[in-house]
Amino acid sequence: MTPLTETGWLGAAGALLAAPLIGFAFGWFLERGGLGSAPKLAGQFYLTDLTVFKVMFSALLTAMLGAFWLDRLGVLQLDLVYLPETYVLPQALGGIVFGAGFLVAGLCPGTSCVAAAAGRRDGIGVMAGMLLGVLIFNVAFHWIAPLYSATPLGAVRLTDLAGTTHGVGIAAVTAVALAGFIVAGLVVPSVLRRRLHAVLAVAAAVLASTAAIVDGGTGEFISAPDLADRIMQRAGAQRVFDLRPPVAFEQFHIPGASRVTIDDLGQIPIAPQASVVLYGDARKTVVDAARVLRTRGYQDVRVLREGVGEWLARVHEPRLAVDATPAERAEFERAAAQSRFFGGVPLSGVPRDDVPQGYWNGRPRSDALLVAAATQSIGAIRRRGC
Amino acid sequence: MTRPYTDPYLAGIGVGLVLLAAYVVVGQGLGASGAFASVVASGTAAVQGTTEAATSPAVAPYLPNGIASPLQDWLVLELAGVMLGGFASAWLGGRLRRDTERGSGVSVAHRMYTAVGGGVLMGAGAKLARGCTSGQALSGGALLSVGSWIFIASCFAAGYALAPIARKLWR
Repeated sequence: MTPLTETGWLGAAGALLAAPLIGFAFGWFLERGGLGSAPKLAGQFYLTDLTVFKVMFSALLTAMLGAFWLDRLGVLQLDLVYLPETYVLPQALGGIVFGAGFLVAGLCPGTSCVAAAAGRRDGIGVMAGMLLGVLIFNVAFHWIAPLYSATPLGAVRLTDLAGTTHGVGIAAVTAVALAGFIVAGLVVPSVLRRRLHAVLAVAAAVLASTAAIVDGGTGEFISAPDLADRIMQRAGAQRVFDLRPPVAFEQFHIPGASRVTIDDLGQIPIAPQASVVLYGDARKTVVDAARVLRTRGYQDVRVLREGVGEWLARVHEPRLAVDATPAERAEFERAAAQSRFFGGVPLSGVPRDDVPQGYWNGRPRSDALLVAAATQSIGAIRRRGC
Repeated sequence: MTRPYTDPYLAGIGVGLVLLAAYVVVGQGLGASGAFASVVASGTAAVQGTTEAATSPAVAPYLPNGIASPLQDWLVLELAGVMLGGFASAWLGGRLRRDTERGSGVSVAHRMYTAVGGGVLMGAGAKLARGCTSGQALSGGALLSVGSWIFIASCFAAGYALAPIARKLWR
């Protein structure tokens, strides 16, 4: 399973080794497409050359569709890929300032490096300006800070806001992009490679529409604290199923859980109105298991997204950092009560470093929780974004 | 001899596959502006001393474990790769040459001012937006991140709104 760094296949040194290779290919394709030439990029804003739009959105579609289908095929765990956090106001204003700079410079940060490498002095000028701009921002950060952290929404996707599945979101974005490509062909007519473009567009449309159809929602998720509340209140008929191997189940399992295989779920007797919660090691297995139960007609089937790791971190063995925020404190109070109910040990006053990133929000990253130390250095890089 | 550019859609698919490879191998997308931020942070640490530099919340995140070496940073290595890849492609495509590309009627000096000025705006804008066209628009956009799409919309809206004013730069 991938991402390789998240699943323990690749350490921090390996990631650094991959960096120049990935960068090389990135720079190569940008230059091949003509994005090392400022007048060509600037043509986007005067609708005389739409290369920027074409390259950018065909890249976006390729990565978006590829990531969805690799996740479906069990190759990539898309949930573990870093999703940038949203800050509405700074990102809107930052986009405006950036867009103005892009227009004047005719190059963006990545393409300025390509232009410079191809010998363009203006590319070097843009790179120098970038450094200066960052420096000015840093010096002025004291005044910018309130704006910088205003209107946070967390790591959210368009589909979270729209309340639809990832597959439907992908289909919508693909439809808009393909329509954009058609309009681009009308604005700047081209007769080159029309048949190839048609084949690619049909392929994208097929991959996107099937994504919308097969993605019946990876299921309703339940957080570990909510599951704990359910178990403590013993409300109605409920079942918790553990899909991990017997050894792991023997070592530790959520109180009241029964161990099953996905085949068992096909015939195991369950009360018709029962609320079912599933958890396991491999997300694909759990999602498939949820589908088996829904096919059998059970309505209330939920998945504990991060499995036992989340249960341990947020219910059984919660940790509170020395410098905890009020929000973290409130979460911890709830968790500590639950922890004591289940015989766990709540720890307060823990060094901040021992409380992994994403610990208290609804979507902790399992690797960060379980092998915190190994992923911390890479985590530091990801927090920086672009 | 200068060879023609690759079809933009095919080049885009190439970039998309590279982005996909980045998701698969390191679990994060591509980036560019972050590398500039990293270099500036390292420079700041070299001038002020690491301890002093780390007191600024704008600089501290770029100083892993307080060791301010840009080469330790993933993004800086990646961007070094971008330059090598761009160089190799330009070389093989016969496009490697010393030049200052600009609109006709724009002097070299004027073009250099706009290049640096545009860079300054992008450097500050990318910091505020937590990413640029690579890290925010492309890498986050393909994951349907809300903030990435806000950035894409506002970036191009500003570009088109101001394009008439900047027309003589690119005529």
